[in-house]
Amino acid sequence: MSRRWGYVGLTAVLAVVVAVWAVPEVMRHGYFGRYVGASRPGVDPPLPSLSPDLFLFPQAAQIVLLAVGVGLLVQIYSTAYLGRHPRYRSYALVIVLFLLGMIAVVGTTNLWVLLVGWEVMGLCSYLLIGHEWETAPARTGAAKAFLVTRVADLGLVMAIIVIGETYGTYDIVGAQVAQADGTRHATLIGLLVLVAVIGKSAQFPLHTWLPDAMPGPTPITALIHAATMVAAGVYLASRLFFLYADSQLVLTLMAGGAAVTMLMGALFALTSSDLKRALAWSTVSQLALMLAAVAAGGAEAGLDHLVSHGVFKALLFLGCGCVMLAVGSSALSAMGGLRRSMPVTFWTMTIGFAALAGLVPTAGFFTKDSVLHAIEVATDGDHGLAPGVARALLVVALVTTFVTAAYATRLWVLTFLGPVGADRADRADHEVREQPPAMTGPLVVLAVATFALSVGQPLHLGTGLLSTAVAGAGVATVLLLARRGSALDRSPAPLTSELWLDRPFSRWVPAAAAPLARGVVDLDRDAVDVYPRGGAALVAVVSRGLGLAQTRNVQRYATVLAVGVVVIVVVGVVLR
Amino acid sequence: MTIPIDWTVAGPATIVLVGALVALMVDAFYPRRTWLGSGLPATVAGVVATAELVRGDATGTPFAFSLVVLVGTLFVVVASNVMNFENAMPPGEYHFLLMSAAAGALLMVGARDVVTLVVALELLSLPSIALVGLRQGDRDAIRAAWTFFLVSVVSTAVTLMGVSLLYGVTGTLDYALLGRALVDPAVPDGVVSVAVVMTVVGLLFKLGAVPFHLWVPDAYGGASVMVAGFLSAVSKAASLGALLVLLSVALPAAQDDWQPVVAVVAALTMTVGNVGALRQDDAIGLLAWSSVAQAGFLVAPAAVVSSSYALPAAAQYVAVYALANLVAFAALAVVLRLRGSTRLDDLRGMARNDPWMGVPLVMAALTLAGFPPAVIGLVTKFVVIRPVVDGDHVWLAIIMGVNVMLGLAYYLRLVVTLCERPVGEPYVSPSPPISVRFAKSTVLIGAAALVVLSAWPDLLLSHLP
Amino acid sequence: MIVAALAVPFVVGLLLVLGRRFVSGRAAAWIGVAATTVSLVLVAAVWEGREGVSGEVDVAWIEPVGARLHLGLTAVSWPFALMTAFIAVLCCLWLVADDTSPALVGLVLVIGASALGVFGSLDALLLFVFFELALVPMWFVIAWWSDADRDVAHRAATRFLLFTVTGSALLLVGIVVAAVEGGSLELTALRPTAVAIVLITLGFAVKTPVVPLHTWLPDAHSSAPTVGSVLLASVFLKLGTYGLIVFVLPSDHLGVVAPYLAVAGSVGIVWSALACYAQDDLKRLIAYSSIGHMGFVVLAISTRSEAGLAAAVFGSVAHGVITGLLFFAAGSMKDRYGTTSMAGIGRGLYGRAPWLAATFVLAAVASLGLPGLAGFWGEVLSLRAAYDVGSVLTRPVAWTALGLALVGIALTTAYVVRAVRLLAQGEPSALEADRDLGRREVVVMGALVAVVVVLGLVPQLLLDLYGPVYVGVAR
Repeated sequence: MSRRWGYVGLTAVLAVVVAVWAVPEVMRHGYFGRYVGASRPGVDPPLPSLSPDLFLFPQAAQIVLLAVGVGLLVQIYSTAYLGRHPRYRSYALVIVLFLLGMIAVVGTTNLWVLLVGWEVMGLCSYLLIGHEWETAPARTGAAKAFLVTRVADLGLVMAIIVIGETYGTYDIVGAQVAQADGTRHATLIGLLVLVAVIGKSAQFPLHTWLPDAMPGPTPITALIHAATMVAAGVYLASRLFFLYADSQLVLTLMAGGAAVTMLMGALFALTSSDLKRALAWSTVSQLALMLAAVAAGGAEAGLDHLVSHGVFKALLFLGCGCVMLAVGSSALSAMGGLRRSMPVTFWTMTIGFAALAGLVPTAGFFTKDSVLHAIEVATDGDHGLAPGVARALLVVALVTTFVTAAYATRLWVLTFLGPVGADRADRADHEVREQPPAMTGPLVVLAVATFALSVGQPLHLGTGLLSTAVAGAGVATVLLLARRGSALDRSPAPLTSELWLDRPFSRWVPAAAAPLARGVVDLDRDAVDVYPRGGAALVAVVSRGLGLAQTRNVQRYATVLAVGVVVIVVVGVVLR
Repeated sequence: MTIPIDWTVAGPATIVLVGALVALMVDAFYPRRTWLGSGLPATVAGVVATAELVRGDATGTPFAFSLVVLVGTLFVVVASNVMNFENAMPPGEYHFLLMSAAAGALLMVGARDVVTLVVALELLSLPSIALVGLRQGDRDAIRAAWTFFLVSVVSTAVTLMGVSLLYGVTGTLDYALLGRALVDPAVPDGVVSVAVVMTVVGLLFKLGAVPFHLWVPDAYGGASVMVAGFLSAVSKAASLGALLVLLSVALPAAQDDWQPVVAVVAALTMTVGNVGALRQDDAIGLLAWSSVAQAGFLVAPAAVVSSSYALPAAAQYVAVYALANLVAFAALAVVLRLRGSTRLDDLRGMARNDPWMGVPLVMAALTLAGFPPAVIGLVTKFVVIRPVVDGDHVWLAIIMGVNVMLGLAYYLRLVVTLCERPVGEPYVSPSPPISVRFAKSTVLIGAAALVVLSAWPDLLLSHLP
Repeated sequence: MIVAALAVPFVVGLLLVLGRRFVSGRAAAWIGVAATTVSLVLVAAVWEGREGVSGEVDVAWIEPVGARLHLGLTAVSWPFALMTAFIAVLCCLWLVADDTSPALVGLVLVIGASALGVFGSLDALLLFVFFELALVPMWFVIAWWSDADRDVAHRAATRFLLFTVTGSALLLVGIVVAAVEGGSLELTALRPTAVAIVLITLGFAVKTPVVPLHTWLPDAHSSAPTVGSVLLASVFLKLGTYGLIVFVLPSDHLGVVAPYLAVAGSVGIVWSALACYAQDDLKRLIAYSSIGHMGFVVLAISTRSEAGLAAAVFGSVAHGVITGLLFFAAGSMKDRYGTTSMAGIGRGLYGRAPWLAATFVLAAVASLGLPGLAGFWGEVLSLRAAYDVGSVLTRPVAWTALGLALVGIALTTAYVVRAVRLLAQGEPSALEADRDLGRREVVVMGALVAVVVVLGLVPQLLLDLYGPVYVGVAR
């Protein structure tokens, strides 16, 4: 037990250090406090280095604090959730490593350090999803997550290379300074960054890895696949926004992708039969919302929503973990009626769902409001995005708000209210009880934070009223349906099978890769290797022929000799 | 008419001939079936001739090749101790023939006119043929000698025809005069081409170049091992020397005629020799084919004899080749005498259980392959490729490179067999007769020379031309 | 000093081979460790800075040919030499066991010293002699100490040797051409013509190896004993890349071969990654992966740029360390389970031998080029060099190569993940031989892990040798 708290202590130390560093930065204003690196456009960039180049601007400071805060809570939570697991040690250490990676991504101006952190997070995510590597879904999910994100990360690698070649520096601030003389290669850089962001933040069409990552331990989902790593994509998109803000193409693509993803994710969440998977889809949808803000030029709104989403989604996932532990499953059909047996979880998760639905006065409401406002502002066409695109985006966002409120309510109803689900027959009611304080404590903290983060948030009355109305409608619809006794888990096949968008990743690619690889091995052996083997065979045949020529038959030797002379003479004369 | 005698050339040859006669005499009056009676005079003659050569003012290519011939002959004579003179080989005749052939070889290198060349060629050939067939009561040897003889006759005939054509066209047989006469535009080109090519054929035959190589495996296989060594080293060195002198002094004007022929022959020879050696299961057969291949390397610089690198390269290469080959043949002779077989299977593990013979054999094989730790082999490979490149025959150089690889394939087989862990009964070295120990010591001295040269290649490269 | 760094392992190695009957395997290995450590320390101490030549020794050798005993380390060769000496130390440490054959230690020393000789030579002929010197001992190491069937091992070793010798024979011709043209055998004075560059490139391409000249490699690597595989992968392949860097990169005629090198290198990345995906034998898999890594190096060389040079050196050194680690890990598994077939080793190694599995996974992840570990910098600099096109390639060629390289990276991830999944993860199939790392393994692998991490986090250690001030020491 004490050893477990050792890891918590380690994380706490890390959190304190980060807090000491970041808290003052939250209050600071002005981005260009410090300039690192030499930047002269068009000059060859220096060879890469990993000098830390730590630098935080206020919102980055918030994100770092969010990361270590949630990280610390997750560590505490895990002492109870996974404390008796034989591999708890590696688990806890990888979390610490992950946090370091996240700090590196957010807290530096050196693009290479950012990349290292970015990939370290990916690796830790891979290791932690595969924590239960005895089970096939965990292995598959981990492999898929790693592969998809890493392929997408090549976009970031190339983006960094292009940035270096374009602006002569690998420093973000340096590039910002150099970019003041004129933006170049905006579309290329933007597209490459977009690839990385889409992969990391699980946006369409690379979104399928995130729901499949759910076999990972639930605290990990809360930390990595809700609050921090996936959100880092949004952070990156906003951090490098200045490099591609001029590119209509990139912004349109980003907005379009975000629109598709947010609605699709919300719909999938609405129809999912699994609580955890539904939350994962919800994350996908919310991340798309943040990206929409970035695309609309409202990067600050996006980052604000990132922070508040990080808090309430971590809360929801951790609560989900409590529920799962209690009922032994994450299927919605195993839940229901948990309100009384798990009061703390119920109340805290209720706050979380309210924030997700965007209800006043949670932080979710305010930040979503900012996002909607940012999109609305962009409809005037002055913020890069074409007005038509912005308007369409706004409509989709509002529809998504409705669906979001609906599925949040649905999940809330199915989990805590309503009758006991059919699949919980094997577990007696008295076994389903509240979790220990180590697990509920973090829930309470996060629930409080969900409210606390509302303080000081801007309020945009118009969009605020509109979104509240839409969200209220969503909530009301579901409640009404539930009151009528209509089953909330009926949905069309294309949605439950998630539009078969996973097919290319789960079937086609593996189905193509294996024969291709075998073909290469066969070719390597039978085709490429022909020249040495053929050569050897030829030499062997000739060698045998030469041996046979040694007949010891003198007449024949003399003949060969004479013919040889004639041939040589003729050749000699002809060649002349 | 007085014929000026160049004693720088004739001196060593005469001494060797005298040695041959003395050896025969001693044997006639003191007929003991041991090496000592006739071998000693031959050795003394060899040493004196070498001293005479070094003392004299011969320089350049003739000196180098004469030195190789003399040292090689000495080596063969001393290593011949290994032979079973009691009942297989008549010592007097053997040494007489050997020294006669050596004299022929010396004359060949020193020849400055075509007649001398042909006479010397015969002086080398006829004793050689006799040497091959000398082993008493051995049908194989007789047969090999017979083959050798007939093929030799044909090639000599071709050469004589070439020579007469040359004479007919130019009216002279002296190298220097020939060289001048061939520049004359009045000389008919076609005839010259035919004549030159045919003249060269005789020498290529002695070198065992393709397509005149067929006698080589048979003769080497049929002859006593040391005779094979003599043929492969001394006789070849002499032929090469004569070829180089002939081409560079007498026929440079006809370069366009012989250059492509010689180059193609060189390429073919090394390839055929190497390929032929790949499937040999007997060490002597392997070395026989390998010396065909090496002949290709020897002939290659002759194709580009106009390059300033060519003559020294050929001399240096032939020196190292002859030394390595002699070491190998002598070691195999010892092995054959003591074990009765030179099949590769029977040589397994020799470097372990009989290191005094096995390791020199490994060293010789690596030298021939041109592979470190036998650095000298590698350096001479470099040396022999250099004139070819310098003479703008890069294609030939590439073929040489490929042949280095082919060669390694079977030399490696030999090396590996020798180094492998022996199977079956541990081999117990019988206590050899004193004369065999004498032969063994030559092997060791030769191998030691290879090691020294590997450590310090400059020793050879700076002092031979 | 540099002479001592070569001579000590060489002499000790020879003595061990000759005196193999008088010394136990364990003692021999310790002697080897001592000798190689001396060598490593000397190589490290000889460094005088990136400008100029460190520890130069220049004495007459073969006057008529113009060859000199010219030794010295430059900014290009020093990292190679250090890596070689380091790997040699670890190989000897690895052999500290009772069943070691003293002769094997001796041969390892000779091979290591020869490779050091190649990196330390500033004379082309001397370099070539060292280049060849290591081959025959390597044949013996592969053929005699292989765990595979005798015939298989012999065939693999002979294939290796003949391929390499074909290459080096062409190389020899190329050197002769360059020397005749340049009038000297000094590396800096060679003037390879176009033909010579083609020959030299072919020669080193076989060794590197560049697709399609690679088919010797999987057999040789998988047949060799652990130290043999490590030496082959970490040191021998580097002889090829080093040769390309020193002979081909600075040449005026690089343009003749550069497009082919770029395309062959990048095709090799994809090709080998696909081949890896279908492997069951771990050592074959690592062997194929080497082809891919060398592809990055070759691609970098073909661009001739500052980044390309840095990429080539960094990529080579990193590959040496990472692949060494992978082969040691595979060797550990072989020691335990008697096979390197992943099916034979069984699944769930995380549970059966956690530290071994963790080391393997770390090495595998480093091998796929995870940023923050050594494998990354070489790759990313290659990509940068290709994006930048460099001074000899054309943009279509360079960017095609770049695209192929990116595809290759993705595929590399796929096969690494597959291997980890088959080996480290999964329901543990416990075997009797299961045991975690022993002390010797911890030391060897720990040292390599440390280097992998340090080079990954502080790439400046190497890259600083090639800053902007750097003016063609390779030339």
